[in-house]
Amino acid sequence: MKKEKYNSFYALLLIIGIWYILYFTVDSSIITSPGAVIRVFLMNFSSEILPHLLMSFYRIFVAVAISLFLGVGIGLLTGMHKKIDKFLSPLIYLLYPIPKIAFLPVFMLLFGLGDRSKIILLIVIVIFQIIVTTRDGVRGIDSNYFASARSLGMDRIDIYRHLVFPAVLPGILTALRITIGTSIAVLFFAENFAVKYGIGYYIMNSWSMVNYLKMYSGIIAVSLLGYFLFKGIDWLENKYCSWQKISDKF
Amino acid sequence: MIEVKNLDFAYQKERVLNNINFQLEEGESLAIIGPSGCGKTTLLYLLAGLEQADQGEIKIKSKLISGIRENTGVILQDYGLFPWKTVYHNLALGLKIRGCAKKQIEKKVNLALKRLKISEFKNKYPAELSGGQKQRVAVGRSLVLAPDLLLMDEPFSALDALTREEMQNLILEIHSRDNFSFVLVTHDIAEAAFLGHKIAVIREGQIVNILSNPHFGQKNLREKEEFFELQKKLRKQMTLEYGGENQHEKREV
Repeated sequence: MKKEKYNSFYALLLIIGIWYILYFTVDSSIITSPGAVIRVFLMNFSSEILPHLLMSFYRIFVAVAISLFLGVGIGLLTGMHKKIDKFLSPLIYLLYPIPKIAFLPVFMLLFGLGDRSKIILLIVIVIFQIIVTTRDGVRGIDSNYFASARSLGMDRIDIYRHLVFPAVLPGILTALRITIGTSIAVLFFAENFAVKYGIGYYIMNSWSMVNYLKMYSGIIAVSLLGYFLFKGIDWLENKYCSWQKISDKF
Repeated sequence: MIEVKNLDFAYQKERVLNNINFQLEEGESLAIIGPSGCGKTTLLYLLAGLEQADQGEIKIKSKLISGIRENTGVILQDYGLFPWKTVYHNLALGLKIRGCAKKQIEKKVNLALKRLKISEFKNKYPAELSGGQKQRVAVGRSLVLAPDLLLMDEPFSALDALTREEMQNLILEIHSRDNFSFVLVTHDIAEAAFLGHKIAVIREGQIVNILSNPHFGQKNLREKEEFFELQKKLRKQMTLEYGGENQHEKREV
């Protein structure tokens, strides 16, 4: 635990160090002093940044929760049932590569200018990753485990509960890590349209007002949001998938 | 206990088992021996209800088998333990599925852990255990269900010679105390001679002979001459071609 804290501290020092090097070597007002940015960040955090950050967190949380619920469900069904997989796989393969971010104007017209269109955009972007990871995770389960489960007298629900879900959980958490990174990037873009709150809006608004100190404060806030979300996933992994680390070690 | 009649099984179009017939009395053990790919594991899966026969019938305690049976314990070749469950929860799983109360599960699992001398590993995951310890957990997971029939698919094949003998002794010890019937699939001649009341030699999907083992359960059997004689006989059975002497011996049993 102590070592982990030290690692995070080391990463922070390295980033600030590189930032200082750029600040002293690049002769441009767009590279501001890290010290000044941190001061502005601390000063404005609770009054200005936090409401924007909470709004972004709410959008990501709702979108990821819905994507997980639907994506894991569809992934489990396609992994377990060949007929469903045969029907859904071509649809997934056709829809997955489409740059869905281009559909934001369509979603805004269909679902309104508010949160709903942004959340739906996030869902259609991240859900495919979760579906494919879950489905492939199910396919990768050794058939001996199914024989073992059936020999214990497990019915279909027991098999999902005691075998399939725990087996694919590490993969789902990995997919969650990737989708959270994607979600933050997508949200940054989406929050530039027809919103008054959201960290993407805060950053771009500060930039257009040539307030680089506030712009960088917003970027720090996004970074911290990502950091705590990733730490949350690490916590879930340690709590529910600690067996995997042991299996990897032996 | 077990009655198998005219059993046939094909995987896709390949015939795996052909006209299998045998009987096993209550409390008896049957060792099924044969080379890899001879169909012995398929036969065990049919007895467990994990596969369905194309023809013929399997009766256990006079009841036709059409699926998984509640009182049959199964130990699979690679132990079949779930890596995401601790030793305790692997043992508790079968009881949980059968709807046992939490306190009863705790009592039964702790007793089994104690009997198998694996209490100290109850909070460990299977990946943290040695082969022998994993095997004890697999045995415990079946025994905790108090089965009247235990089916084992090459359970000790991955163990070193000494641990294997230790596990064979353990099975005999538990068997003599709990008096269940068991069927063991193996390719190890010494194991078949040590653990089988009856020993079925199977080759290319057919039982070519069933030998009786009058020395089953004798003390220090491994050091006795009869044990080596039986192994010699089995070795001969396994390498002989069909017909001739083979058929003659079958009539003798």
